[in-house]
Amino acid sequence: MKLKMFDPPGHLPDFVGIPGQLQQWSKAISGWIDGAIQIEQGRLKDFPKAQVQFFNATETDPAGLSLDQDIVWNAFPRTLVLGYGKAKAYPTSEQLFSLTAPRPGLPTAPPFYVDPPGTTMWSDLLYRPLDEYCEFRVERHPDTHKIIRITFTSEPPEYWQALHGDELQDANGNFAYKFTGDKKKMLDLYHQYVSTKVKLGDLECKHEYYYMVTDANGKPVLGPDGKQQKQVVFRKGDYNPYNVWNSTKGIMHLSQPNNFVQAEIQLAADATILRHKNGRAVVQADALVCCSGYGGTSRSSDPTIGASVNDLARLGAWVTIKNPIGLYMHDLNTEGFTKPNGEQIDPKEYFKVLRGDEAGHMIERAVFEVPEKEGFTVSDLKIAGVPITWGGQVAEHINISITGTGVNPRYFNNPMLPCATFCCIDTDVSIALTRVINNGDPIPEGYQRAFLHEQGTFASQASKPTLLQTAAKEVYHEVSGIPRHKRR
Amino acid sequence: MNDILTTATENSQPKTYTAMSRLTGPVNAGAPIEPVLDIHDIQGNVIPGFNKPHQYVLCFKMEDARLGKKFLKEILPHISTLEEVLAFRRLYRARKKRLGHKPEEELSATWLNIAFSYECTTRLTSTAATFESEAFRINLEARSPLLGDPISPDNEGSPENWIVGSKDKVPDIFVIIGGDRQDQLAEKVDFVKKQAAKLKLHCIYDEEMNTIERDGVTGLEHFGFKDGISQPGVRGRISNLQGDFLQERYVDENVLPDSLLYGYPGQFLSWPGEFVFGYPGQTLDPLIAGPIKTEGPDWTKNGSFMVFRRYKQDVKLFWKYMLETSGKLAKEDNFTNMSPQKLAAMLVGRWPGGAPFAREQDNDDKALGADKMANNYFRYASDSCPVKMVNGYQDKYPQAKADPIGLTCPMTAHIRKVNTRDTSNDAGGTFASFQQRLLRRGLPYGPPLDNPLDPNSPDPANGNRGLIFLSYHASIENQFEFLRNRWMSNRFTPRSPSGDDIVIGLNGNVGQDSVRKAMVFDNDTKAVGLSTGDQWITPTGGGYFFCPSLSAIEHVLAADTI
Repeated sequence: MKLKMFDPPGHLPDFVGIPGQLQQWSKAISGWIDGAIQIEQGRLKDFPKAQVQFFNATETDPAGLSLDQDIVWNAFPRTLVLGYGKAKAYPTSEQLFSLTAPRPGLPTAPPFYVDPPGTTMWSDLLYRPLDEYCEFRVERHPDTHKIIRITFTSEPPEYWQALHGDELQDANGNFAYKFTGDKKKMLDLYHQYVSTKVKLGDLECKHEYYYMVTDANGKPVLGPDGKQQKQVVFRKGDYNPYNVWNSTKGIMHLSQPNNFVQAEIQLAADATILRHKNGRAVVQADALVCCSGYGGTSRSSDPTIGASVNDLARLGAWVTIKNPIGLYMHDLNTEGFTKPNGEQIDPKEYFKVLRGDEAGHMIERAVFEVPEKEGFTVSDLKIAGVPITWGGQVAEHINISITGTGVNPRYFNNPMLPCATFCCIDTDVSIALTRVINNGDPIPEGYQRAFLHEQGTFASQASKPTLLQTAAKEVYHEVSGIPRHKRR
Repeated sequence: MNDILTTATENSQPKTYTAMSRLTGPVNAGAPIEPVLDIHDIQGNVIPGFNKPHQYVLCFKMEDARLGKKFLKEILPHISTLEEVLAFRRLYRARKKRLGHKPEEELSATWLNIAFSYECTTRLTSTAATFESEAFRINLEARSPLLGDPISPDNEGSPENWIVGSKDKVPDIFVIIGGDRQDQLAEKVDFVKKQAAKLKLHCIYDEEMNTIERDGVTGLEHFGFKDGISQPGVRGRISNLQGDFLQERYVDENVLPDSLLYGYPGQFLSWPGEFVFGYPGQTLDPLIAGPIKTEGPDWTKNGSFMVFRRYKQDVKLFWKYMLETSGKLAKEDNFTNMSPQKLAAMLVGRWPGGAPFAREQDNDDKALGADKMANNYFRYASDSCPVKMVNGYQDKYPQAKADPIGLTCPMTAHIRKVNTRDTSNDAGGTFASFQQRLLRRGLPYGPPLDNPLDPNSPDPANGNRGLIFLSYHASIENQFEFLRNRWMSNRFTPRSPSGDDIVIGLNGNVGQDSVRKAMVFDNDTKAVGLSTGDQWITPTGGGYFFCPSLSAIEHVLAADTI
């Protein structure tokens, strides 16, 4: 049976009672999925019989055996651990960064945004460098600096844009999904969870936010009028996901620019495309990211989401993300967390789920703090004998998850496409710095090409699906058409 | 594809062993240049491992650091190096090949290695204060809750009740001795004990370990499973000669990428820095060497962290569960030929004889289990298929099929919990998986139990049997502890749908009464839940140590600086 509609993340209740809001959310999710399917259709255009394996459960009902796979990853950014080592990753994870600054842990990656000439619109906005779909904020006692509480969120920014009544963009960056919204309800939630001092104006864009479109080499892309194209991200009066109450003064939802639902959908869809290198299926998770270019190589999340989906796709199954589509904290494992008296802590008392579905492992907001009756602070707790001095020490015991669904294995026998991208590794900082490069683009100075041979593929005698082979010297290109700020 | 290859003429010949042979694998122009290891400086149980059937552990308290240094000077010539252990292994294999049987009558050796607690190193040298590893610094007892160990004082597994490794029983010095012959081993143990006693090193724990052999299967642990099959292959060369690899390579050079990735088929090669300091570790690309791994003091080069854990095993309780639960599953669910052995094989991921469940689901194929060319060759994300080998070997056993969700080999199986092979995991891709590997060097203690499936079987040892677990790695936290805490004791990782490592995992979470849960699929793809609170393994001791190079012992730890 087809799914009737897509539910809000974690079955959050705030849309209930807002006229049309639940339907609008479902329509947006459905549209994002369809947009992703369209992009994959473009990739398979040379194969008339090929069909995209990623499907929209409100439109397609593939019959057959259905298997759910929880795709689980760690909440603490591996990017920071690889880039700095754990000792420096912990404090870095609690800092805020400007959207125009070099990315922490990835100094050679381009910043998320470039200010249009004469403005500082993006430089003024701050985000948390937590790129695993889980972000946290640490509150310390002003005098002792001991940790009082750590607030975690996995709520996507789109949910809050929708609650504000904005028009959300489709995969191509066009404003396409209008929401009724309820600004008062949104403000009430901010008052309840962040601060009673929040004013509606604090949460809204005072002006338009945009960037000037450039190509991969940084050259201006011109529009039909001969002027450089301008891509609007937020319109004046829209909800501002980087508002002060979600950055410097509080935390309400995800802020790292890659942490959003559309990205999750696009990544899953991209990962249903089968890839080959010299005729052999690319299987290994890291090699797949490098070959498909669908995410960050240094993360825990992207390689495992991509490879898990690709595993299902290689079985020939229909693949989708299970409703409700969102980003979730799955659980906190407190094994090894001890009180000052040496007793283990009970997570039910210390990790309070405030929003989302705890029993269903779809936690959207939670607070880690010591029950008042205990009379000590989070910093007085130890993990494996080491006092908690950073929020990251707790975050690294949290699992994040989404659920993939594979239906009717062996239904598809789709072609494998050649790699669209490749990876380079910094020769000096080889453990941390990798870059995903489009085919045909030069290898940056100081980098060497990774997966040069066929590591990451595995020979198979089983079946030989159709291949899209490139001529020997022809470089295979894929153009996604996704605007820069919507890419991973 | 072939343009990246250079066929070395010597590789066209089937691989042979001679005592002096230095060609241990094909030389492929596409392969990375691997570092030459300091074979005379690295202790031999780190790599390549003693691999002796009889071993002995001795733990000492050092009363006086000056006398301790004297002991180290005396023991130094007796410490076995990588070079010596490897040379013997090559000689042994060469003689075995010519004789057609094991050269037990003519060849034997007794090896000795030594390791130190943080506390001990700080007494021997002030430079030890710069060790960065928190786990090493605060030692096992303080880390025990993270590993899921029981904490109730009335539980035998609580550190309060440990035989060694807690309170005033934390060893300073750990000595392991391994030998082919028990008489020679006993002689060496006696020698060390006498030397130690002379210099006021008090022996607070010692234990004999012996390999178990049953029905022609060697290398068993007490539950009856062949142990130690899946060890990472360590990259690195013994000399400057091109093909002189520490870990032999068996896949034909024209088989890509396998020949670049494997020692034995299925045995992924890891960069040596994952286990020994002073060498490159992994990167995203398994063929690109990472930065040189270092740790604290300069003298840690060629050294390795060592974890020692003493696990008591309740063999009767383990098989009681398998007997009862397999009977229930046979009645209520759709499993083919369900039996105690089959259920246990599903939960371990291998049959008792070592055959991987991914390759063989119907019976304990002992030939497959014993066959090094095939018993570790399988994947989870993709089908495996026979590959051409340098020695002409033909793999004729059933091959493994892609099984990413665990429909065949359950995701909860011990070997899938600790090694995700070609599938991704909660820490990322294969790069992350490579960073959690460890070199296991354990052996059973105590006599094996006859007829473990018979609850009335007499047990003269009164349950005193188990495993002395030893592992070597560059990080206690990211390797040993990661596996125990993040993967074995977490029922959702490294992949789901999964469960705890029900066989060897421990669950120390509050309110869960040590219950481990697992999930397997029956023939109808129905998820079948399993759970038990039985304490099949009980930690009864251990410690965190550093196993330094010989030069570090000679010039730093034994040096007269205090």
